[in-house]
Amino acid sequence: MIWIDTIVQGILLGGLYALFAAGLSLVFGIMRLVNLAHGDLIVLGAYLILMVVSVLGINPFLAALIAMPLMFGIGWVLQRVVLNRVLGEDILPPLLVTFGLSIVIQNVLLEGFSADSQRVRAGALETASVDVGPVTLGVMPLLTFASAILVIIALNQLFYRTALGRAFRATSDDPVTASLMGIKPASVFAVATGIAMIVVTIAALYLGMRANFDPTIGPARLIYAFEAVIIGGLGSLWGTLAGGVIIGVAQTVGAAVNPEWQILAGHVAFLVVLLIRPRGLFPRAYD
Amino acid sequence: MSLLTTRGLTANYGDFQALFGVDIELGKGETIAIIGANGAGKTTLMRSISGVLRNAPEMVTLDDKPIGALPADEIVGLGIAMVPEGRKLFPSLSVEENLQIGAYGSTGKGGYWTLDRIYGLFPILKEKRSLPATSLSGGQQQMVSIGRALMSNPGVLLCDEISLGLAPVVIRDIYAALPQIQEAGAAVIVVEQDIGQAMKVADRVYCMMEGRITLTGTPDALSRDAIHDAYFGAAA
Repeated sequence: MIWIDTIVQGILLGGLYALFAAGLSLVFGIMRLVNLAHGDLIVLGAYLILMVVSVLGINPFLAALIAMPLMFGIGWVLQRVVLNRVLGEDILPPLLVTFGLSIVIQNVLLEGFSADSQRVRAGALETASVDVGPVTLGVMPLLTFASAILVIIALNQLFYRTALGRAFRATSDDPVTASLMGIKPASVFAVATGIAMIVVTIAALYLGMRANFDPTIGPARLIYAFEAVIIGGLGSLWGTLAGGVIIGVAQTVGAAVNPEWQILAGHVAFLVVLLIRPRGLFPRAYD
Repeated sequence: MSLLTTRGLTANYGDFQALFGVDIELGKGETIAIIGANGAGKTTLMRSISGVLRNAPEMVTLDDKPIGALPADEIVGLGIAMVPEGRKLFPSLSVEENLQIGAYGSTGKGGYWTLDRIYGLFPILKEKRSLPATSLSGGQQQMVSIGRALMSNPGVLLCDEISLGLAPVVIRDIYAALPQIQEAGAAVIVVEQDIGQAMKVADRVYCMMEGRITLTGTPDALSRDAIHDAYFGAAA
């Protein structure tokens, strides 16, 4: 029974990793931009939610709703003012710029909030649980997982059912021909990064409520996100969820065997998947 | 009054100059053909008009307004749509989505061309509407590309090498759509290497060589020898 419990907890943890990864996957899928500051942007979002909670004294979920348009704006401006200038044939400039951005965000957060670890308080929700058959599930992990599924459904609807989604896919295929259709790639990219930041805010909400955070934990979240995206196959959001679940299960199983193996087991699972399926579990038909 | 003109149009790719002062004129409701060998500058000319290549403002005019410096996404909003060389369909999009995205820059403008009218023009596309666009045959893909450009209800339609790589019977099917496109109000520029096809559909023909216009006239006024000289150079 303990194994079922371990695996179920791992699956739910995978929801958190999928949330970390969905924004990264969105941006990479549309503009082939690897945002190395993604993890730090999640931490920035967590601090933003923390600030709204402590200033307005409201529930973290409401605070996240307030943070979303702000984060959209940050993403939009970031893309318009900085990232659009470095996109091009050469993939190195965006890597360097987002790497620098990662350092800047960490240090600004350190200046503003100190190195003390913080937490977004969620009251009774933090410890609430439900019994499902033989296993006891935390309400927080359940909410995280449900949010991940809702985010992926919403993004898929956006991608495949709306004019904006068509513009995203067309621009991703061929920006020059997209401009012949009246699409402005620079604006489409700015909106895409804005939407990714909304997803980042949701990830930040759960990051902040589930555990302590401090300004330096961003890069590790980036790695989990990366691994989830790569395992799933670039461009597939459901694949990203599967990738998150694989890492989550590997980590909880690893931890059950020996607590020191938790992080390592996740990375090993990633390498094993890459060995067996170098293009990920659900790769796109073309690239 | 001419609808679209280029005046002294020059274009460069880096250090390489591809166009040396090209003047063409397109009247309302007119169809002109631009013929020439590979590398004559035909596609560069199309890219300059459509805004993919930017030029000095006065080098391209639409209704006497300078548009040479505008980016492609604004040009299509002014009513100039391009069927690019090599079709350039979006592989992530289905046939129907490729058509729908043609109307992206002009939503709500209204006009003759709708999804239904495109399906009327090319019935085979309706049958294949939910397939990925790049799974279609070459001729069908060309129909999607033309339909996609028409969805913006252009006043000027630029067709860059629409017969390239297609079988003669397929080319005939595609050109059969031209009268309805003209009827709906578009002036058309066809770029062709296939001189026979160009002469059949065009009111006037421009022949290009090495980035310059070397010959122009109505199809029946141009002798085969004159075209041959303009196409390959007089010494050939």
